[in-house]
Amino acid sequence: MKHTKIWKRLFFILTAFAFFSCQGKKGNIAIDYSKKSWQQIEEEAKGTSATMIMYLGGKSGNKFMNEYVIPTLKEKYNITLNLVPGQGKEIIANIMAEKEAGELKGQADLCWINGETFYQLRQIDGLYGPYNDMLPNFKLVDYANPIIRYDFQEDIKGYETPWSLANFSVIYDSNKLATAPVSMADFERYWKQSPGRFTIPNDFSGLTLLKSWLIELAGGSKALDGKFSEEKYQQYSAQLWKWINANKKYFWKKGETFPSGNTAVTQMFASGELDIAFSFSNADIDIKIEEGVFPASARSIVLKAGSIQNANYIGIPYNAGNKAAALVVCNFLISPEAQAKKADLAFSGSRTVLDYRNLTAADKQRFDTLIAIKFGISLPVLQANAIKEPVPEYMIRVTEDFRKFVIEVP
Amino acid sequence: MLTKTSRYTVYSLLFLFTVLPLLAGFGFALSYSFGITGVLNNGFTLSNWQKLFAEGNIFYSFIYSAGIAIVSLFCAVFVSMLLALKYANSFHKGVLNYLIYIPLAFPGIAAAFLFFQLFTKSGLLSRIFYRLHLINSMNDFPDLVNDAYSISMISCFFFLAVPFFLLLFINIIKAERITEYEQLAATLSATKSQTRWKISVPIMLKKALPNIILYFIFIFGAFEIPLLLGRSHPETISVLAVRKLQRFNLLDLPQGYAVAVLYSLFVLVLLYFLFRSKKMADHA
Repeated sequence: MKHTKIWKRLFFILTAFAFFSCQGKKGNIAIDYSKKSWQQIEEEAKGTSATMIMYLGGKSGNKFMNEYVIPTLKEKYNITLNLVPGQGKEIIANIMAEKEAGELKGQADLCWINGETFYQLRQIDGLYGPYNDMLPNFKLVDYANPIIRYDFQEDIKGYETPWSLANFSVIYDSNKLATAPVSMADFERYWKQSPGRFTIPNDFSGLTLLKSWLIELAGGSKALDGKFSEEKYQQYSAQLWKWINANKKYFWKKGETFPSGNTAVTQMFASGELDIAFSFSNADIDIKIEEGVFPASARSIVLKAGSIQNANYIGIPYNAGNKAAALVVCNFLISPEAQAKKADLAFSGSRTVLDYRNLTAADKQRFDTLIAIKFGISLPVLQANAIKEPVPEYMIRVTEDFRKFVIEVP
Repeated sequence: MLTKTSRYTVYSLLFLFTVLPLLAGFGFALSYSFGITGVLNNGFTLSNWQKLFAEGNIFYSFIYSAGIAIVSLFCAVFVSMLLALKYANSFHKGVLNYLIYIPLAFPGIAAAFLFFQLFTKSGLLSRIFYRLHLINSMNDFPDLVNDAYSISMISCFFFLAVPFFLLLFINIIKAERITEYEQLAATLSATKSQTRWKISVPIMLKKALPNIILYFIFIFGAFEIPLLLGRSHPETISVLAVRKLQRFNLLDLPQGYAVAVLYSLFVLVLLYFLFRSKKMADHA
């Protein structure tokens, strides 16, 4: 009898545990902030704290957040911003798990995302919005720029706030390579001359390089614009894999393996093991030369097809617990003051998302006094060679097929 | 002696904090892989499992992970047994007594970085070889990281496992009075090799078997070391599972859970053998 009682109690505890663990916490998911004035939103945010998930592996980005954003938010709006490390995959996993558990008050109020994460979060309805029109500073954003308005060619429709612009560039050591390879023919020539000193990181950077070559094969910067074309993809990707397989014997480790990420490639470039590295930040090369990580002879170039460009954004999860503070933070991050600080080489040196023409004279001054990037690609060259990120289906297919037709082929 | 009530309380707590979360995780992964749960799933389907088996990587990954674990364990058990039998007493005193514990304090990721820095073409060994004029350029240094024979990965597991097994064998020698058995056998005119192969090694292996199986599970499921030191193909089972779970294409997620289910089932089978071997070892 005693045992039956104990088992009954245990069953009760377990049932209660299961029941309560399935109950989502109540959040402010139902509040319609578009009906509130900006003043009311700021008032609601005052004295609260917000949590932001972002990639915390970059020294300059961390410095910008810790030394400028966090103290300024506290001082100006009395908002405490807490940073939690995480990027694309972790953000998706978090929000997806919360959605599956029916959690109405999520862990994060803001997240730093780029095209691939935006695409995934939109797939699962994981983002709050549209909200950009509520932000007073949004009218300063260069929204006519397709690279800002379309993330992976998908209209952002107010579901994320542009934060800064990024462009894909190739970095080489001018002391080791007299001329940098630009076209696919140049690369082939270079590989044969200097075997073992080039590789493709098996991550976002490497896949962007592959997409750039796919665009070159397809005939130029606008060749893969618009909806996904199975026919085009089949035709040009087959050529691409054939070309890489024919040449991979000249790659690092004879192309039998590829580094899992760009960090490893950057380290090997810095230590002299590789000749070529990749970056999405135009100021990266200046910052790394200044820090002594890259040799002073490092230079960056744009590939023949052009430079795939995109923007990175701040998103608010659909179940953010403190949306008022999240909105205030978003608005602050696109203020001329914060954007000019972000563009400063002492911080991230990022390209602004604001339209210079929309700024007041005083705000223009903030940008005019910044030290110009020396080794990154100049703005006119970047603008002339800009390629919009192709639609996400290209990324999905290139990711799968690079593994299937190159990595797994002996 | 525990009373019956407190015994049931202990069992209940154990169930609540160890078995239940595991069962819940396994059930979630299983239902995800069959499309029953998950925001992007549309109900029961076998297609995720079919795709996984059609792709074939899962088989390579199982064989590869098991191969790495067997080779690393064989080397580690062999070397540590040899050292324990030869120098058991030396490890009880002096600096060796402390040194032996150092590799045990290394987390997997730290050991992986250490071996990466040691063995890579621009690493420490390559630099020493270059300075000693043994190679003409650092690029001539052999491929030991992300290499075809998984040398750096096996060396790293070996480095972590040797001290563990060394301590284990030293304790077994002491607890099982192996030295006394050896002396007894010698008085009965057994040769040195007969004593070693017919008495010491079988006793030590039998007693260490549960730990060997546990360590096999540890290496089989290790993630950081193969991620950093392994190749992009073939992948170990954990690297494959994580890749599938973190793919850009969210529709591949159920395949990642299917890998996790297979891995868990394999570990459960191993645990069954572990309990059997433990029973045998206890009765030996």
